[in-house]
Amino acid sequence: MPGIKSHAVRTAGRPAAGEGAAAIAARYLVYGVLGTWLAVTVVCQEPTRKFKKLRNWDSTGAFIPDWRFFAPRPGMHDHHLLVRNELPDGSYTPWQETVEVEPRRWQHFFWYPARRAEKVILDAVVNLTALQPDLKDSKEDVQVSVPYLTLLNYVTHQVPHHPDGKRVQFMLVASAGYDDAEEEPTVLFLSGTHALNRQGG
Amino acid sequence: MALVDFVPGDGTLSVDKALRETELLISAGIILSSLEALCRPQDVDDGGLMSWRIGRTRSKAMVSGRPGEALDKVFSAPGIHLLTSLRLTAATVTALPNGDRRAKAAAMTFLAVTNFLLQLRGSYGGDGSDHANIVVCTALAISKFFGHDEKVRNACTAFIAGQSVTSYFAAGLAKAISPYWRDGRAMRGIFRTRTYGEKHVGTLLKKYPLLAKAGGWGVWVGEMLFPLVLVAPRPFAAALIGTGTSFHAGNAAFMGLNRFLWSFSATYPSVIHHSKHLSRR
Repeated sequence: MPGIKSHAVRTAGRPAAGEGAAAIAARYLVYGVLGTWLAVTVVCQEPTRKFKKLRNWDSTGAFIPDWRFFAPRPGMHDHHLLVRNELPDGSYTPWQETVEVEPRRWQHFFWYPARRAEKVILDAVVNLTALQPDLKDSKEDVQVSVPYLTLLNYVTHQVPHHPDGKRVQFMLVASAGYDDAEEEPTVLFLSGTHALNRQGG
Repeated sequence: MALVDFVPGDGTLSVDKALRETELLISAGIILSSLEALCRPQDVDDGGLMSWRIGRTRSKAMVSGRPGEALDKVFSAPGIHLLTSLRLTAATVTALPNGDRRAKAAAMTFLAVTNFLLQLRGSYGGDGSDHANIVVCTALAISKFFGHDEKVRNACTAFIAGQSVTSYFAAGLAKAISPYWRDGRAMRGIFRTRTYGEKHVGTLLKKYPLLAKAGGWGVWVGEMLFPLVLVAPRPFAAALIGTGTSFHAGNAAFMGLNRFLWSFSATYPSVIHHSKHLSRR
């Protein structure tokens, strides 16, 4: 009996006649929560990024999406994290780039596990820039900020060091990507030097 | 057709078909995202770029007392790897055809809650696909608890569709007010980078500035037109959905934004369900 079956399935989604007050209350609660969430999202997409009152309330950034991708001013530079070690005689090893962006491959359409690590460098640059407009001075308050500590933690623990390296220093550089032959890279930030707590070192 | 097994048949309400298709696409994206994360355990280790040891310093509440200890267990290795593995399992459960309804409700609720937890852990390395996962999974989880109430399930798809059209319009509007997007510098600038660009596309846009300008205009005009999918005549609405899918496929191929393809196309079944001329209602 396909007709009856179809009718039964179609009516199953409707609340029974005389539904309880709790079911109605629950329905309106959902309307309220989702409606408010959508309304707040819409208000917070103000295109100039000057209105931040509501977004500041969402400290984790989980509740209010930011849909304004690559706008108003998109990133038009690559950012590079470079690391060097200070040796016992006070000299430094050459700068070495770490977390190099993977050259674009067709496989990235399906599979790109390194993308998040690459994005961390970009996020750290954006946040450090916001903290200190002139990033060439490394102030103490910057050194306890999340972006600074994120990079320092990484270059201390996951980047290979010179066997005699006593201290580590990192630098953030902006380049013109594929146009780098035509445009000089710019130093955005030079960290302090930090002791390497090495076993037996 | 294997897809027939995954998507409910003719006797099912349109809203439930839309929810199921949304569930399939978002689950596929979370499976991909979880596998990618599990391939790079070093990133979330204590010394990694997405270290909880650093992430937790954003708030005093996250480093002190019992909540801090609990978060340490969940967000530090090996807890974070277990959490990611459980998300992989939950997404597989929600993607599978048929199966126990309560198990699927529990799995989708787990995905919704852990989406928020992962944002709490840290936003570094995150992107718009994570936000799309949050809004979609939360709405899907809510819909699972209202199997008896079609109106609520329709509200859930309306919420997903609302977020979807808002996302495109907001992205388009923010570009429209930008001189970089209006004069072609944005397209040229983005595609010359190794991070979000592609060498051949970058060279082409550099050689033909008009193409860069047309491309920029095409992106923001297309994004701002997307909400018309809800009211436009069928051919135009279908073209907008097709353009949106192609846009994300292109972004995956040329910009390395592969997870966006899954998370944003997951909103399309809900958009179609609320489209005046595309809906199967």
